[in-house]
Amino acid sequence: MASRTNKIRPIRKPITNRDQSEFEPCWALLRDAMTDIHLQNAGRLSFEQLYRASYKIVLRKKGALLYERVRDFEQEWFRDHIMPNIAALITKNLINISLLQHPGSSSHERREMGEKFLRGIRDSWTDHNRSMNMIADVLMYLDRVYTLETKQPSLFAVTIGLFRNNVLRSHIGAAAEDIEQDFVVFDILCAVILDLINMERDGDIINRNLVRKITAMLESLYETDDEIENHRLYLTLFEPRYLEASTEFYRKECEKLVQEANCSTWLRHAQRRLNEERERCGTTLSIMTTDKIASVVEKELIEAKLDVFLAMEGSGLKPMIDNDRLDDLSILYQLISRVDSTKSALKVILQRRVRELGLEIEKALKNTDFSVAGAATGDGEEAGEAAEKAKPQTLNPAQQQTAAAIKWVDDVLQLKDKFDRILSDCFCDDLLLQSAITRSFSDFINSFNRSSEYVSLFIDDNLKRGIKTKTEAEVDAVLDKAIVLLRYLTDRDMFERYYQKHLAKRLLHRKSEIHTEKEMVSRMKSEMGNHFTSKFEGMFKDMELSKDLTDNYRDHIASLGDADYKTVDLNINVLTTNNWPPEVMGGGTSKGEGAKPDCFYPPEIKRLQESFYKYYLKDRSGRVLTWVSSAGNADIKCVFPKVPGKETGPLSKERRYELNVSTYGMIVLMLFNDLVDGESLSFDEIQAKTNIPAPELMRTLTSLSSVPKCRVLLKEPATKNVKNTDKFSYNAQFVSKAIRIKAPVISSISKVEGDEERKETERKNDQTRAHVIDAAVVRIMKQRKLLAHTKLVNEVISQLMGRFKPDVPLIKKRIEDLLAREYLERVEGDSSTYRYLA
Amino acid sequence: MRPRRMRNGSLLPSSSLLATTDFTPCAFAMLHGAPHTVYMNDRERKRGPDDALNQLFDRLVGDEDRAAAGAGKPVEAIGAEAAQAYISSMGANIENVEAFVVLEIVRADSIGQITRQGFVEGWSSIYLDHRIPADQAHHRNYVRMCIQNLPQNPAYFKKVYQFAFGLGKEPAQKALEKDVALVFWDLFLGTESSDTGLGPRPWKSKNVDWLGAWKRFLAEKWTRSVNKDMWNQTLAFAEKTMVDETLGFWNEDQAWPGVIDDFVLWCREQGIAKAPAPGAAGGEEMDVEDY
Repeated sequence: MASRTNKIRPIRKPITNRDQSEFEPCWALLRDAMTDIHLQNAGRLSFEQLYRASYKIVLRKKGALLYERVRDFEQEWFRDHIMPNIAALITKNLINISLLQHPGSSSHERREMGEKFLRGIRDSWTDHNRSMNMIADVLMYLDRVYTLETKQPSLFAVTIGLFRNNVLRSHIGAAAEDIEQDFVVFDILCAVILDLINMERDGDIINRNLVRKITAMLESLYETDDEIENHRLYLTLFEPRYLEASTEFYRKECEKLVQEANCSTWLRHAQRRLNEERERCGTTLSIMTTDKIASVVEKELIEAKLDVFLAMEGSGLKPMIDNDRLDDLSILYQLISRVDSTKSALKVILQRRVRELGLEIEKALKNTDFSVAGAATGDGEEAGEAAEKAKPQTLNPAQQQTAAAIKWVDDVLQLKDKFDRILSDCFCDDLLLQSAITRSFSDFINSFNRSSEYVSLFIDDNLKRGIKTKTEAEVDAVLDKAIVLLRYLTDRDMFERYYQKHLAKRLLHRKSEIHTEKEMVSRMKSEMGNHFTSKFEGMFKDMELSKDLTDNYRDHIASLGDADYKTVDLNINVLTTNNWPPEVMGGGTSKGEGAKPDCFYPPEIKRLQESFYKYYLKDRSGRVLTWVSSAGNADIKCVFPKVPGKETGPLSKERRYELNVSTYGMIVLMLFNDLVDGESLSFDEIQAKTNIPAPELMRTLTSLSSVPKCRVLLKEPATKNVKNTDKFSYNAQFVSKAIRIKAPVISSISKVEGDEERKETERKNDQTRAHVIDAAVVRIMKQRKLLAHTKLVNEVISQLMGRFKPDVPLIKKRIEDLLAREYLERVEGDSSTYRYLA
Repeated sequence: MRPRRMRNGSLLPSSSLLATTDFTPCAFAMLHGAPHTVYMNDRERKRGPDDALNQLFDRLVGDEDRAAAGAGKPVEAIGAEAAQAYISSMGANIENVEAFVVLEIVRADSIGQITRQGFVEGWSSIYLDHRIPADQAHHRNYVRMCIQNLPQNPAYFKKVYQFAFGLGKEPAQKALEKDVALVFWDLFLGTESSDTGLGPRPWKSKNVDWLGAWKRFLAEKWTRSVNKDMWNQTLAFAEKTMVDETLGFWNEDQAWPGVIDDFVLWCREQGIAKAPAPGAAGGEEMDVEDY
């Protein structure tokens, strides 16, 4: 076709002139057709005929003229047929209500009027749109050839754009002469839509379809006929106003909420609004706005007064946490995640609350102590409470403290469970929040100066009781909890010290299941590393070796065949000094006491000790055994002969009992074997004969002479407390229902330390830390040779992190000490850098 | 008894000392006759002026020293009396810091004793470094020059100051008795408030008598002896306070000994140095890291 056109072009040139006259008829045909189309009378039109007419015109190079004529025709049509309708829609009332926001109109009235106006606009748009489509179809050839060649906007774009120019941008004339501002129809349109949307936000039902039609119109109209994608009227005109109006709306709403609502309502409201707005974009406006309007709501409704809402008394974050309002917390988390990826507002309050609750636990503990003390006094001392006030006070605090420790741990674990639940149920296990919560837990746990001790006591208590009451699964859960707490402790060296002490007592007194103990230690090992548990493992090993040793020694004695009836059965624990706590090893708990002189054992025991030592050295020459009399115990078979003169009752028969007493108790009782009936020994005499330290002796004698169930000694005078001047004699009238009697060990409860003891423990621990820091400094400097002060300090801290949190002044002091001892020197000319002196 | 060698090795005034004065080594050589130094034979070159120095030392020996050494044995050290006489003969005031200058040259390791070894080695190395001939007059000149130098040359001052630590302490101990240290500080850093009057480098700034404050602080808070680090760092700290009397250079995370940290806090408590406004804190040595 093109090639033919090229060929015949020279011939046709004269023809064009002749065809000048052909244009008008063709145009007339087209014009009539367009009128018919507008009048919706297109049924009679022949598409082919019309197409041919436009084809002809274009072929005759009259495209430009046609293009113009069509445009002019449409403009005229607008002027004559459409604008009057539109003008009729724009009543004074409408303007007043929509643009000037005159008060005094009900929303119903406004809605009716607004929707009427929108319907009018919609109808004329629908007509125009349909007509323009048809016309564009008819004039397709014009668009294909002329418009393309001349690079003009398509006829459709131009004619459809007329609606924009003539309707939307037309000024409001006659109806509003008293308005100074120059409004166009679009302003009304926009105001009406915004008003309708606000009505819907306030709960009215509006014609969503109608609004959607209008916004669709705005979406399909452009700023210019070039139809640039970003220049849709919806985006350039409507959306900004919509967002602005929404901002205003939500700002007001938020202020109102702050005044009138509580946090919980606000959360739900904000969530509902977000959903509504998203939905509205789908049904009423355009999905292009979804994200933008969401961010308006986020900013105005959520972020703006976030802190105020969170701090609200009774409904803010704090009560939400305290009362486990999990729903509220979930919504809150979702909302906050929308506005702030760091969630700092939430995080800060959360952390503060964890710490506060932690401190409350501590405070509650202090308050409970007194009431427990009262209760304990009532329980423990049935008689003579008033007479001996000093006694219960010295005894009971230990038990109270154990109870306090258990309570503290339980409370902390409960708190932890609570926050774990919140974290998983409401915060989607958010890592940021998780670590924040963990940090806060660690903060308050470590700010409590007895945490290490209490955690160890908690384990102690559970492992001890575990044997009787707990199933394996329960014990397992307890171990898990203990490990959880252990993770929070920064002063792990303190914990190690306490645990060692408690473990030692459990092992020596066989108070726990060895496999549970081992399980616990192996968990600690995997949590904190080998170095942490090496001592504990050493203790286990000592216990195992001791058991073998005991068995072998027994066999050895049996093999001697010397069946002496006086042979004492020995159950021995050989403890390696370094693995066991010094308290147990008889190092003395109070400082400055030095090595205690050993007590005087009865000859039977002495012989036994020598015999065992000899046996022990057979395979292990060069070792030294020290007998720790304070840590052992003994079973004594006692025979109480028939009391003369008693013919009935238990006293009339000979009684045999097995008495389990401490080593000291055994030594004391042995003294009475050699005593003639009726004679007594004074406290001082007993001490002189046994060399048992006075406080220990006092406790031992209390246990043997004051506790009813094992009162095998009589005390003169028969008061509760043992004094230096008291005399003791054999209680020939002793009776007991049980055959095996365990003499209670007074105050050897492993339990919590007293203040004095704790200071002592801390002092020892500080000493150890000083050595550990020294070692770390030397190790680092040995490797680095030269290092600046700050770097050294940092490195020491990072090396020791796993064991405890060293404090900077202490490190500084240790460095100074090393300088004085010439392990380090300052570098000449740079006194803040140290050099290692080999 | 062999004298202990000082850790720091050479205790000579550094060459920078000479460079900062009119007495350049070159000037010295011309002043005191080059022939002596130029025409040394090999042996002499190797041994230096040791024979002459030994003879000089012999002349210092008093009767007591001879008696102390025992009959017929060479005298290896002279005692307090002879040492004082020697110091005076060098033109140095036995009462003040000038004595330290002489003692530093002859490598004494206590105030009351000069050893032969220290005397010979000390002067000998000065001879080798600066070509100071081994005779009384030249030594006197050299000592005078050093004394003049003391207030002007911080590096030399520091050397003598640090040397004094070894002089003042008991041989068996590692630290200086507090009382001795206080006297020494007066000698070196004395201000108008000191009993001994102004030292060569008075520790004071425009508004603050730092030495006075330091002594008051030590009297209140410090009961222990003064170890080497504290002794040395006190001078370093003193130098800084003389530049910045607000103590703005100080920061608790720096490597100052604890006693100096305490002193700073004490000064602030006493109103001697105002704590700098927050944010303005920090001198040129701020290298605080976040831990």
